[in-house]
Amino acid sequence: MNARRIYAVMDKEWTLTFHNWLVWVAILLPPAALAALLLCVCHQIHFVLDYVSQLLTQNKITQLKTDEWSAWLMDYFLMFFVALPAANATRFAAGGIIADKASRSLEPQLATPLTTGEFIFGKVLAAVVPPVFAAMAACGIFLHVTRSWGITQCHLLGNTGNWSCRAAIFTLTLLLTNLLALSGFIIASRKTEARGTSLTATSFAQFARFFPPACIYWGYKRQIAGATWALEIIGLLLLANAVLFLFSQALFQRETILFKWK
Amino acid sequence: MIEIQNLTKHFSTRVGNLVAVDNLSLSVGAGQIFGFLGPNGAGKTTTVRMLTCLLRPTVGTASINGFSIGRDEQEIRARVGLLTETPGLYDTMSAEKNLLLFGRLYGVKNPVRQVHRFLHMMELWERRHDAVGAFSKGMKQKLAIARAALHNPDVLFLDEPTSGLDPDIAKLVRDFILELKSEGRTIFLCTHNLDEAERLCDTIGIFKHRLLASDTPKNLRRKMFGREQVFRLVHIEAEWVQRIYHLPFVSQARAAGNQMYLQVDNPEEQNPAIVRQLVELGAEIQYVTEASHSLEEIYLRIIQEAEATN
Repeated sequence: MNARRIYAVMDKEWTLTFHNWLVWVAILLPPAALAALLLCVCHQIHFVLDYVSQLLTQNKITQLKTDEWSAWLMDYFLMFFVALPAANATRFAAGGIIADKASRSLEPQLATPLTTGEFIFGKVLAAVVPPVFAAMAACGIFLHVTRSWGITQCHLLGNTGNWSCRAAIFTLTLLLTNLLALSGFIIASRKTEARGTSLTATSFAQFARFFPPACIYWGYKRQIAGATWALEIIGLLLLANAVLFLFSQALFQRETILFKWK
Repeated sequence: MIEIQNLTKHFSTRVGNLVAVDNLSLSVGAGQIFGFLGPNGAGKTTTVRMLTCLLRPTVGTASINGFSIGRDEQEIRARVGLLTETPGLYDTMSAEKNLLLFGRLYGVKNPVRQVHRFLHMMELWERRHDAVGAFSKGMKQKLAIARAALHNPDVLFLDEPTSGLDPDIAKLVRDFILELKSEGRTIFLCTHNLDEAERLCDTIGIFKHRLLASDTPKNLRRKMFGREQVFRLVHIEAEWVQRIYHLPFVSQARAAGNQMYLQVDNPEEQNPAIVRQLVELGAEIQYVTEASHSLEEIYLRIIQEAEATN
């Protein structure tokens, strides 16, 4: 793997994608909107729980685990951020290869010393990095504000102020997004028609939205949700990424991609 | 240097097995321009794709500067430049950025300086910051040629480099190809432009799924038409043609209008004897010259013969 060549591919993808300011809006708006929405929800819950705490201190109600409630909600809310960048990244990865095919620019690229691995890595990373960073920036703002309201815990990853918690959220997001972007790339490398490919790849990415909440639900149900559980999921995602990366190289047919129109 | 041995490529299609390239063997010497001529769909682009490691051959081997296709693909890709049939440039990127991308992919040392050099050379310097989408076909083609030669490759594969260009730009491109040759680079030129092939190429290969002929244009002309001498007379009588045909060194004789066409092996020695014979017969000779046949005539005859054989 040659880092210089990978960066050249990424730089090209970004130059082609981000020359239109509307793309920036498409990247930044969803995380910003999600953060705003979840902050509104948290704001409301914060006041409700505050009121409930007052009732508890006045012994008007006997028992309500307010911290557990907010931690449970935080688990789900954080997973929204984890799932958010997948759709955009998948669309970018699929669009990148389709655009190359349509402009017939794939042949000169593949005639360079660029290896299949470098080509895929560069393209997928270029598709993954902007949406992940936008989502993580929005998540950072969300965590900062919720902490100022006293909501500091989540079941899965502990204190939201800890670096381990934040690193876990980032790693989960990166791996899940990368997995879906790789899937988008594989779909696009085996199809030609732009609309069909975009639709297939995006529909595929929609599954990502269900994956994190489903994991948490399963973890709660089996009473294994916690830091170890999160680490196990990270390990599984890492393995899936490695397998899919190798798979994408095997499926990327340098030969047929140039002339076979499916 | 390019060495090709029994290179064959089959494609599986819905209607069966399509033989795009059949048992191609040829050799192109270092620093030569080889013209690869053939009709559309003859398999020229498939051959170039195999030689640039974009396609794997079904059978056969080839080597570029000692590196084998299929085995030393990275080394070959680093040492060859490819001008594809369609320029395949990024329309929304500037000319400079298009070249810089490829400079980095090829691992060119100091890519910025090299890109600027080529932009000057191709007369695109003033438009270097403009998006390529706004370029004319000729400018795009010049940029694509610059991209193919940017990393100073040993071997260049140029697929129709002057197709659809105006005479000014076509000349610039041809001059550039000759400059590359003068630097010792080997050029594999696929073209339909027979006049261009005649002017640029040291050797040519005529190809239609298989190699039909390969030699220098001059040798091909001799093989096809021999050394045909034209004797223009004031008038011709049929008997004279017969008498001349009976000379031992004349292999063919025919008349058309006032001209007598004679096929001989060694005109420098044999023409004086023919002239003497004609004068003795009472013919008045206006001039004697050697018949010239264009590359187009050679090409068409070879292709027609191949079609007739098939």
